[in-house]
Amino acid sequence: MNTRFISEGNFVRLLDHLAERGRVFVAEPVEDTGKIAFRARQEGEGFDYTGFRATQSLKPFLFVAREKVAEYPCAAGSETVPAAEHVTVVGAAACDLAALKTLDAVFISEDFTDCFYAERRANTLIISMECTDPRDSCFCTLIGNKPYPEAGYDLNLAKAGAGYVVEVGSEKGESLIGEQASLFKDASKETLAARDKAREEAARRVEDINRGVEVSRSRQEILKHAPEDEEWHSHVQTCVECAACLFCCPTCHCFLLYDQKGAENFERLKVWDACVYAGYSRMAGGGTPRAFLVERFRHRYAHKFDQIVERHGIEGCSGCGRCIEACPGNIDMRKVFKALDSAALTEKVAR
Amino acid sequence: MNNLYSPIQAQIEEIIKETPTNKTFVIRPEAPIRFKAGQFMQLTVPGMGEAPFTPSSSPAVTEKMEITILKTGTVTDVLHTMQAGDNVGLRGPFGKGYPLDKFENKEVLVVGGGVGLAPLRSLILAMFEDMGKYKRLSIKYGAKTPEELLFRTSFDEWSKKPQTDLTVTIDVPAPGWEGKVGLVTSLLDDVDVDKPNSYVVSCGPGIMLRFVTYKLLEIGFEPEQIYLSMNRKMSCGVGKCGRCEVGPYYLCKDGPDMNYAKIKDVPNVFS
Repeated sequence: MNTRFISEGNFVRLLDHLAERGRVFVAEPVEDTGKIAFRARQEGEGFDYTGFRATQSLKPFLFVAREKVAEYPCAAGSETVPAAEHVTVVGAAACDLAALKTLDAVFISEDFTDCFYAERRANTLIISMECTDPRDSCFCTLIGNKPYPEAGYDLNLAKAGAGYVVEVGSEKGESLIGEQASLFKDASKETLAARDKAREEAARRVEDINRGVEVSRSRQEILKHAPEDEEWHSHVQTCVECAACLFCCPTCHCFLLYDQKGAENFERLKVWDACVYAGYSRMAGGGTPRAFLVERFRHRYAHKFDQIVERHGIEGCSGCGRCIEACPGNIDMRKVFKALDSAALTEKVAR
Repeated sequence: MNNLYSPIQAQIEEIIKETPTNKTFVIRPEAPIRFKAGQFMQLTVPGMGEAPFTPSSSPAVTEKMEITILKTGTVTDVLHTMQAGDNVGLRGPFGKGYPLDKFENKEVLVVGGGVGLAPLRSLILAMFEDMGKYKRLSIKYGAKTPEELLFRTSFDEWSKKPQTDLTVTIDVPAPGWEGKVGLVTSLLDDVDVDKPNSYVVSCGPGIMLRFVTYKLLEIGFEPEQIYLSMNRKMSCGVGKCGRCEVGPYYLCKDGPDMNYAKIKDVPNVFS
């Protein structure tokens, strides 16, 4: 796919064009917080390139926190169908794109496809950006990702003076550029070289941030050999079971089908759920496979780094660091793995 | 695109009180549902929610199905107050079902506890449809009390089927009970199936599955020969919502009957 250049002014025009298709959400700084949020764009507004991921991931755009998925009883022809609104999201980071691989694998599969996710996915145009400002919670490089998008975007932006180097990553992106050809020009060799230099710089910074928490083998291996109890107990001490780590996670996808009485008939909602909650896996009659917090805490790691790997061949983590940023108990997944890795190694030597 | 979460309409045609805590609901869906023995349905109680149940009736009958249900939680409490003629919803069938093809020319030992005999009855009836395929069907069943024995009126008929035997026990002595007393595991002490050429299928509470499994291993069965109907909370039924995970498997997609060899190393597998 080709590489182009678009000026800031022309990018506003491009967004105005996309706004004709449906709502446009843009990642922008939230005043005085140092945080970045996706906000619905108003006409004529540009894009304030931040170079760091938003607090929210792409997940809520595709897998809605609370959504009606069925009404019953219902007459033929009035079934609940997914909304097919076109949405453009601007400013997604590489970690957000990487996380979509997990969500796609879960919700769109040969045997069963979640039509609500699939419909939104098909109707969402993603314009990503490069990370130029990685922060302390970032660990994409530990997971094997990069701070710049390599795949999964429709268009990708890299800041270049008063405009952006635009990389086209999909047929949707290709046809958009074709339609709006007059807004783009060729990217010069110099801007490309500058972008590639910035990429290397960002990757090096993420590596520097994570100096000291690298592990000696795959996280799946670490978990398979993780000591049963003690090490886990020491990490779970400050967990207050708030589930912030799970809700802000771009790959966590657990949900509950929840039925209630609607205005006319009954309705079924699909609501985000979290495996750290005691009620999550509690069965009728009260039995549960994970009665203790330490078991639920451990389950989250096992699910993300062992079971999803077994099932889909990818880890359920993109290294975005949102869980680290969100945790009121200062639990840092990188340090947990580092400690488990070291503990298992020590144990091995002791044997 | 097919909506995975939308139930089809069904009506309760008849309710049979089986025991003080169990009722069988005869349910007629608006369109026939083909299922394999061991596959499960998500049954909707309007406005209350869904719960997963394996039909207890023969898969040969598709225009209606029987589901035998223990009163034990929010959904089943309401179900037990429902009447014939009430409407419910159904999604499914989900899961793999029992591997009946593997059981051909083998002896099959069925071990049930309490309401665990409900899904097993679907298997038993499916085997009766074509008993010539199997060498033997040996049923071991236990319940807490004589009143809690499910399907007791069928026991004579089952015992008279070719190559079939049935032994029943209750947990503690009860007035008027002259049969065996002891946990269902006690029926396995003198089990006489041809072990190398047999499979075991068990369904019951987690604690029973644990001790049945240990006993089976102790008397010489291999993990590969044991199929267990595992218990986990379920919601979506299609391997997405996350909660019925046992190791790398989702019970809703890969089970609910799991070969023990596949799950024996999973922590807390029986709880």
